[in-house]
This record gives sequence, structure tokens and C-alpha cells, in this order.
Amino acid sequence: MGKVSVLKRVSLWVLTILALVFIFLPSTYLLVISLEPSELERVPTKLSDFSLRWYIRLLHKETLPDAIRQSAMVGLLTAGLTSLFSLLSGMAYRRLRKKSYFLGLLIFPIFVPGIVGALSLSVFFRLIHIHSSMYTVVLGHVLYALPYASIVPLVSFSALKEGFIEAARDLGASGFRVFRDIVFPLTRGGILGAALFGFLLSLNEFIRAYFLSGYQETLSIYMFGQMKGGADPSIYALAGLILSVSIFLVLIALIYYALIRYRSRSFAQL
Amino acid sequence: MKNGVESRPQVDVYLKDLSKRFGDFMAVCDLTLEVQKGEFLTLLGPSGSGKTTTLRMIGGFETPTRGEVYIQGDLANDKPPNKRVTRTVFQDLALFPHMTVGENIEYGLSFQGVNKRERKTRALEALELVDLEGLHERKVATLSGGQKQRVALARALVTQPPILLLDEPLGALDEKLRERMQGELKNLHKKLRITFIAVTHNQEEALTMSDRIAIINRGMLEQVATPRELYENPKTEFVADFIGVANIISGKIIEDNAGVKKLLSNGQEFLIPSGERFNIGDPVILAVRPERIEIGDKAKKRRNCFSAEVQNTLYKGASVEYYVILGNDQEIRIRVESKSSSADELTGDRITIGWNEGDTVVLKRESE
Repeated sequence: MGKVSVLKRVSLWVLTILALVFIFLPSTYLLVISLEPSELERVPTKLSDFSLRWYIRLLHKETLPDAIRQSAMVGLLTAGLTSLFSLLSGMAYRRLRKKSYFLGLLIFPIFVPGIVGALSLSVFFRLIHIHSSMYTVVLGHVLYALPYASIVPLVSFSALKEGFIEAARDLGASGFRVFRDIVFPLTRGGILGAALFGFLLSLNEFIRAYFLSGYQETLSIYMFGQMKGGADPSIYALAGLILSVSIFLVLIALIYYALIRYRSRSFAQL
Repeated sequence: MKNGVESRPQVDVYLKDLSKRFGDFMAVCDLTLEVQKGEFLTLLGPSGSGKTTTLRMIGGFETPTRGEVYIQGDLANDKPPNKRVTRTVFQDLALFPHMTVGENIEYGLSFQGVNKRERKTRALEALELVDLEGLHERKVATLSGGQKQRVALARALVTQPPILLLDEPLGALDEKLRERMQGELKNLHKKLRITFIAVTHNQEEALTMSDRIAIINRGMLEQVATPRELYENPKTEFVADFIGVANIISGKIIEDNAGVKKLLSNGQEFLIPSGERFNIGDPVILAVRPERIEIGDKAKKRRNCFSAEVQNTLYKGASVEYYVILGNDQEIRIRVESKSSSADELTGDRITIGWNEGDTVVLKRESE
């Protein structure tokens, strides 16, 4: 009996490790080869070879800073709009009776393939005579990020019992004060999570940006161009840089999410 | 229009023909009720009777479908809760989890233009009032059920409302704590001298704390009176049955050979109080309280006197209860004080029971 369960446990662990390796190996490999000083695409042979040469080279790229700035602005605008919309949908969700239908509607865009979404947006904007610009990219990114980001505040919103709002109104609060004193403090963790999600998803998005961009390209479009054009290994450095920033932000998002869950759980006991 | 009930200065809350419908369901139906200034009135009824809905309409959390709510003489139907002078202690307390005890209590004062220092002073006073000194800085999650209850009270009372609404205030507490809090609420009411309107399904609680009780059943007002009046002179079968324990004897009015009106139930005649204005043939019930029935020798002197077989004897500490059955298959419950001479184990015996008709009420029969 003991033998069978040991076998099960070991094989589960092996599977887990294999899956994690599969997930992390490509990115790790990319990070490692970005530290190889020669123009060869390889893992540095000696420990002394590890160098930041290509990272420094990034600083001299002319069009790169603009692309970074563009991605950052698009990301921030997306984060802003996503958090606003997820706040509104959270408040609507509480009041609705057919909650599952609403959730379904919210989630639906996930099932639209990226390229289909990008193409249809591009055609649509052309139809209503809106020129491609940073703002069209933002709109595309908001549509993309909203389904994912909206889920995050829902946990906070379910911790917001209607009773709290009634009690606040009984004591004299109306509209704005109810929001400021009760709704916002209890849900702001979730809203921030949604914003972070929006920023992150926007930063790494390519296909919609590609279809909806105006004159100024985003970072992912820049990288695509560099790959196509056969550039130097600084592209790997750029990838490594983006990877590091992404990981960092994801960690922050996870910590925040965990904090919300912890706080909501202790509130739920009241 | 100024001469209506609502404009009388001693009427703090006046409900006129108040009705509330939820879809197909009439939760409250043509309820008319006055609440006197400074009284402790309880809305008492079984679950789903509409009492909480009524309280919420007074507080402004539900809009009436029909009828009017007057608060201190003013029509309040369209006023939102934050514009009403009532304060509510909610059933689930609804203490703000992200604020400390002090912040919770001070919240209402921030809408009354009270400055920060004075808010704290008054919050501390409120904490003293409910016996919770020293808890100003505590987080709400660390409090016990009884403490949370008091914080909710303090939060409502610190704003000095003229009318306090309490929705099942003692529902979440265990029995010992509930009994103690009943006394404390009553004392608080006496001390503050404001109007308390409470909702409960627990009749013992209502009887203990209230000046008057409004019995509500299926959305309608059955009777509103002092606890004693309700117990001794119930006006409907529901009230007789709901308040305390009563023996309900079902039958119809007949007239005997001497022209005396009696109740006939399953072949047995019962003498009823004189002056009852029922007609011959009316379906009625007779309600007699268990403690008003005598057994043994004393019973023989009563004007309603019967032979009965004891089916069960229950020792209840301070009293003994006998479950007996009459010749017409009527079950009767009798309560005798333990220290009385007739409080013995009598199961299986045939005894005499009796009561005077003056100790009973005859009411219109409502049930089938």
C-alpha cells in the first residue's frame, strides 16, 4: 500500500517539476544568452564572460526610448481605464440578480482570438473615421485586459456587504461619502490589482498594438521590427529587461492579491 | 390637514395604511400604528410576518407601496435614511470592518458638523454608556458578540437620535447574555427617555422590555397594547395563542334552556363570560390560560367544572404542568405552582378541573 502512494507522489512531483521547467526554461535561457558579450547566440562559456555589454548598447538605440515611453503611456492609460471600468462593473455586479450572465458577458472577449479582435477593431475604427493613434491602441488594450482585470476586484466587492452601505446611510452618509468612506477603502486593493493587471497585459501585448498603432510604435512592435530586420544581440538584452520588469510587477500584484484575500477573510467573519 | 394624528406632539411615529408589496407577495398590509414619544414599542410576530419590513420602512430602507410614514409629524415616505432623524441598530450589526471601534462610533457625528476633538469626547461618553470603556482604539474584528452589539448601540446613540430602531437586537446572543442585555436595554431606554422601536420574534423578550407590543401577523396588525393587556385580554385567536400559552377550545355559540349563551364544543358545553356579543351559531374559540385552571377540591367550586383524565405530569421546577383530556376529547394544559398542595404526580388519575368563565376570553374563530 505504502509503495503505491510513494510512486504516485514521486510521479506527481516529477510532472510538476517538468511543467515548471517547461514554463521557465525558455525565458531563463533568454536571460542567460543576453549576458553573452559576443555576437553569437550562446550561453557564456566562462563565468568571467558574463557581461552587460548589450544592455549598455540599448542606451544608444535612437528609436528605443520613444518606444519605451509609448508603451509606458499606453500601459498607464490602459491601467487607468481598466481600473475605472472594473470598479464600475464590481458595483454593478453586487446589485444584479443574474450575476452569472453578467460575468459571462464580462469574460466573453477572452474567447475572441487576438488577431480577430485586433483586425475587427482596426476595421471598425476606419469605419467611424478614427485614425490610428496611441488612443486606439489604449482602447484595444482595455478591451483585451478588461475580462482578466475585472475578476480581481470581485473578491473585494463580495466582502462589501450591503449592510455596510445601509449603516453608513443611516448615520447620515450619501453618495460620495458612502463611496469614499465605505466602498473605496474596502475595495481599493482589488481596484489596484485590476490596474496592475491592465498595465502588465498592455505592456506585453503585440497584435492589437500592431494593428492599431499610429506613427509611434510600442515596445513590442519595436522588438518585432528588430527581429525581422536581423539586429544585434541587444534585442535579447531588451527582452531580458522586459522580462525582469514583468516578473517584478507580477510579484507585486500577487502580494497585493494575497493581502486582499487575507483582509477579506477576516472581514467576512464579522 | 394639520389636525391629523401625525401632528400630535406626543406621536413620534405614525404609520397610516402602510403597505409593502414584493412582486406578488404582500409583506405588509394596511398597517396603521401610532408610536408614542418616549415609549418602548416592540413589533412582535413570527418570521416572515412583515415586522422587519415595517421597521425598514420607518428607517427609510424600503419605500412603501401604499400608505404613509410620518416621523415627528412630517411625511417621510420619500426621505432617504440619511435625511431621517431615526437611527438603526441592524440585525447583523454592520460594524465597519476597516475602522476601529472609535471610528465606527464617531462616523455619524461627522455628518453633524462636530469637530474632531468633540467627536472623540462624545464617542468616549457613548462607550461609557454601554459599558465598554477603553475599547476606543480596538479593531472591530477582535470584539466578542456582546461587545459588537454594544458598539452598534453606541454608534447609533452617540448622534442623540429621538427615535432608535432596533432590528432583532438580541438575536445573535446566547441565552444568558440575551437575558442580561434585555435588562440593560430596558435601563438604557429609561435613562435616555427616547423612543425605542424594536422588532423581535421572541415574545418573552418583548414582554420583558416593552411598554407596548404590536403583534403583527402576515403583514397585518393583530393588536397593540401593554404586555399585560395582551396577555389577559387578547383580541384575536392569534394573539391569544402567540402570547404565552393558552388552551384553545373551538366550537360554536349555543343557547341553553335557560337562555344562557354557552360554547358548544364536541358535545361539551362551556360557560362563557357574560356580555360577550356573539350570536347563536357563531364559530368561536374559548381561550383559557393554564394557570387559571384549578384542580381537586378547589375546582369543584368553579362554574366550569369537569372530570378529566391526566395523561402527563411535567415537573418544570417552579411549576408543575398537567396534560389532561376531557370527556369530549378536548386536551387541556394546566399549570400549578410546585409549592401548592395539589402539585403531585397524577398521571393516569381521574381528577376534577375547573375555572370561572371570567378568567377566559371568547374570540372569533380564525383557524379551520
